[in-house]
Amino acid sequence: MRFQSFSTLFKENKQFSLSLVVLTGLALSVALLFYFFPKNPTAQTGSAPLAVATVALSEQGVKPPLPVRLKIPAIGVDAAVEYVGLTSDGAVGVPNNPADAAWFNLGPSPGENGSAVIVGHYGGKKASVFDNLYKLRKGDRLYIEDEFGTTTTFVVRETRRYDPEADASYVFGSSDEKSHLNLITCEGDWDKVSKSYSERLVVFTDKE
Amino acid sequence: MKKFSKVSIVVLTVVFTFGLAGLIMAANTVSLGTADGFAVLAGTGITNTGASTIVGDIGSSAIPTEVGLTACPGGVDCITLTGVNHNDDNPNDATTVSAKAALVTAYDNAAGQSATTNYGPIYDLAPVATTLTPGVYYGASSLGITGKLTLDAQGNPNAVFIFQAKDSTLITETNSEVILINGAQACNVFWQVGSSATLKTGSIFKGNILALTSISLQDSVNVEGRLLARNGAVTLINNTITKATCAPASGGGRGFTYPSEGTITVVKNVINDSGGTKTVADFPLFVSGRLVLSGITNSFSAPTYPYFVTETTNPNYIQTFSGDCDAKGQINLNPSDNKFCVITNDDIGPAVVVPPVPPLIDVVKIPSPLALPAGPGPVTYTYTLRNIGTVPVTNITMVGDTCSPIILASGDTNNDTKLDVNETWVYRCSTTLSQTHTNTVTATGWANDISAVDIASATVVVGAPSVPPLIHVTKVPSSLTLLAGGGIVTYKYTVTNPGTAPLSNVSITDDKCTGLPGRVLGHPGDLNKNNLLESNEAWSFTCQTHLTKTTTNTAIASGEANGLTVRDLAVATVVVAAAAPGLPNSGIAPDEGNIPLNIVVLAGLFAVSIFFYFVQRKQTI
Repeated sequence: MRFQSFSTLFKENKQFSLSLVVLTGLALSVALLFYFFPKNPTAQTGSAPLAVATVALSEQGVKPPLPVRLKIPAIGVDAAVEYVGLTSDGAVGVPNNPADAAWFNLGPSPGENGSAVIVGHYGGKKASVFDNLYKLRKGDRLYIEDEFGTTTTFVVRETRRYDPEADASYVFGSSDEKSHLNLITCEGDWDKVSKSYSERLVVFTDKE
Repeated sequence: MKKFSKVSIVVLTVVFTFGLAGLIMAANTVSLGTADGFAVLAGTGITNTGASTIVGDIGSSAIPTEVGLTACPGGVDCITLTGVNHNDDNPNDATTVSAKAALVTAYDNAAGQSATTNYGPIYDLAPVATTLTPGVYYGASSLGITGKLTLDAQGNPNAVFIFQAKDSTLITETNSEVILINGAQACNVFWQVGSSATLKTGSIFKGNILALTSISLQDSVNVEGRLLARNGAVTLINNTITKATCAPASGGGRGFTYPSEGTITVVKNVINDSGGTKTVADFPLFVSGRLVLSGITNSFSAPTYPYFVTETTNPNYIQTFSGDCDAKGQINLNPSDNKFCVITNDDIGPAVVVPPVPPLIDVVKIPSPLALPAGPGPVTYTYTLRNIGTVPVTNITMVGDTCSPIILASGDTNNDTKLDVNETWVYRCSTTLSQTHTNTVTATGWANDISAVDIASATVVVGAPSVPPLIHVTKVPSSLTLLAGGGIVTYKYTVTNPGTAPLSNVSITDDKCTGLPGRVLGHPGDLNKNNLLESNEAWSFTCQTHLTKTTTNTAIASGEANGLTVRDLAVATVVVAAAAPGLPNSGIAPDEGNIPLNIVVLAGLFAVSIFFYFVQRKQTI
C-alpha cells in the first residue's frame, strides 16, 4: 500500500524522481570528496571562533610553529595532524579522518611550555590511528613535525586510564616549565547506547 | 524693659568674650620634656596580654611591675619593642623617674590651658562623625568618642589640639576612630584625663594621653601617640602603640600636602570571566573607613601602621589584593610615601573551559619640563598608552591626575575608539605648577569583560635646581590564559628611565612572583657598567611562577636620583580556566567500517532512489 502510493507519486511526476536521484548523487559525491580527500591540515582551523582564545603570546608576538605530522615508529604511526577545538558539550574534538591525529588548538602547541594534547581514534573495522597506542611503553619515542619541517622529539613517561567523565586537569595543566605532549584515545568496551568506549587512554610524554 | 536690655548686654558681652577667646586663644603645644621618648609610661606597672607592638621607650615608676613584657616570640604574652624598656636596667631608672616628673609638668600645662570650647559634664565628642579645628576642648567631667572624630589642622602642621576631660574619664567606644587631616599630626594632639582612660576594642586613636590615674586598652587598639599615666597602671591587650613624632617642617612636597602625610591610591580591577557584569563603580572603596574612588590619590596622615583598604564586597565576587597592600588589604604609610593598593574582584559563576583573554595595557607619563628651577611656570604632561596584550582594549579611562583635561592627541589611527594591539595612544595635558608636585594617572581599559589597569606618576620640582627622576616598568606574561590545572607562566619585565637623571639603587619586585633580584647590581643591560639605569638603557628581568587560579599581580620598580625615590607599577592578569575540557569521544564502534554515518545514509538514500527510478521506469514502459 505504502509502496504503491510512493510509486504513484513517482509515476505522476517523472521529473521529481529524476531530480531526487541527481541531488542525492551530488550530495554523496561531495561527501565522498571530503571523506577521501582530507583537508590540508594547516589550512583547517578547527573551531575558528574559539581559536581566538589560543594563547600564543611569545615575547616577540610570533606564534609558535604549528604541528603537521605525528610519527610514532614503535606502533607504526605516521599521521597527518588535524586541528580541533571543543565540542558543544565542552569536550575536546576528534579528527574527521580516523587515520589522522588531531591537535587540541586551545592549548599549547607541541614543543611550547605546558601540556599539548593530541587526540586520535581507536577501533572500527579499518585501522584507526591510535589502535595500538596502548602498546607504548616508557622510553618509546615519538616525533612531531611542524609547519617549517622541524622535528621535535618526545619520550613516553607514563600511561594512565581515565573514566570518560573524569576531571582531566592533570592532562591539560602542567606544573613545571617543561614541554609535554599528551596523546588521548579510547579504550575498553564499546557501549552501544552511549556509542562510546568505557575508558580513555592517555599517554604522557615529555620533550626530549 | 531696662532690665531686659541689661541682661542682653551681659549676654552679648559673654558671647563676644568667648567668641574672641575662641579666635585668640589658640592651644599651645605641651612640652613633654624627658617623657618625650616614651611610648608607654606608668606609675604602678605595665601589664600586657597577647602580642603587642610598641615603638618608643617604656617604663614605670615608682612601682615597676611588669607582666607579659617578654620579647616576642617568647610566650603567649609578649611585646615587640622598638625602643628601650627602662625597667630592665633598674626598677627606679633615672630616665623613668625624670620622665615621670616631666609628665606632671606636662599634665598641669595641658590641664591649665583655657578652653576655647566648653562642653557639658558628659560629652561625646563624635557621636557619629564630627570634625574639629585646632583649639582647647573642655569636658567638665568625661569625654567620649563613639564614631569618627576628624581633627582638621586647616593646613597648619603645627596646629595643636588639647582635650581636657577635666575631672573624669576618657572613653573611646568599640571601633571608634580619630582621623587627622590637612596637616594635623598626632604629636600635636593632647588628651588630659582627670582620672582614667579606656580605649575599647578596635579603637584607632591619635594623640598623647596624659592621665592622672590609669590607661586601659582593650583588644586590638591602635594608638599613634603616647600612653602616659601618672599614678596608675597601663594595661595592653594585643595593641600597637607608635610614639608620635612631629615631622620636620619642610618636606619634599611630592604629592602630599603636609610633611606628616603620605598618599594612598586604591585601584579597582574587575574580572568577569564567569558571566558577571559588575564594573569598577559597583564596588565602593574605603581606606580605614574613608570613602575613596578608584584611581584617585588621597592624602592620609603618616606614619600609620596600618591603614585598612576595604570595599563594599559582593558575594558573587572573590576579592584579592595586590600592589603595596598585603593579602588582607593592609598598608603601612610613612610620611611622604605614595602607596598603591590594587583590589581585584573575580566573579563566581559557571566554571569556564576556555578562559577569556584579559587585556594588558601600559601607560607612561613624562612632564615637560621635568623641573622649574626658576619658580612657578607651565608644564605639559605627555601620557603614552600602549596595548601590550593580544586583544583590542575598549572603554579606556584616564583618571586621578591633578592635571585636567587630559586630551587624546593621536594614536587611534582607525578611529574605532579601541586601543588595538600594538596601537599607541598619546594624551596631553597642560597646567601651571606653583610648587613641587607629584601626580598620578590611572589608566583602565576593558576586553572580554575583564579590566586592565596601569599607573604612571611624575614629579615636577619647582623652585629648586634638582631634576626629579622618572622610572618605567612594563610586564608581559608568557600566557594571558591557561587551561584548567594552570601551568607555568614566565613574566618578562622591562625597566627603563624615561627621564634624564641616571637612577641608582634600582630594584624590582613582584608581589606574587618570587625570584626577582630586588636590588639590581651588574645587570647585562647596564651598558656602561656603572650600576645606574640611564635613559638609553633597558634592564629586563624574568620571573617564573606556577599559577593554578586566575591571578592579578603587581610589579614595582624603584630607583633614586637627586635625593628623590621614584616608583612605577605594572599590573597584569592571567586568567586560569576553572574547568578542564572533557576527554574526547575518540572511539569508533568495533564493527563499524570507519565510514562516517552521513556517507552511509546518503549512499543508502542514493541506492533507494535509483531503485525507485528503475521501478517507476519499468512501470511506465
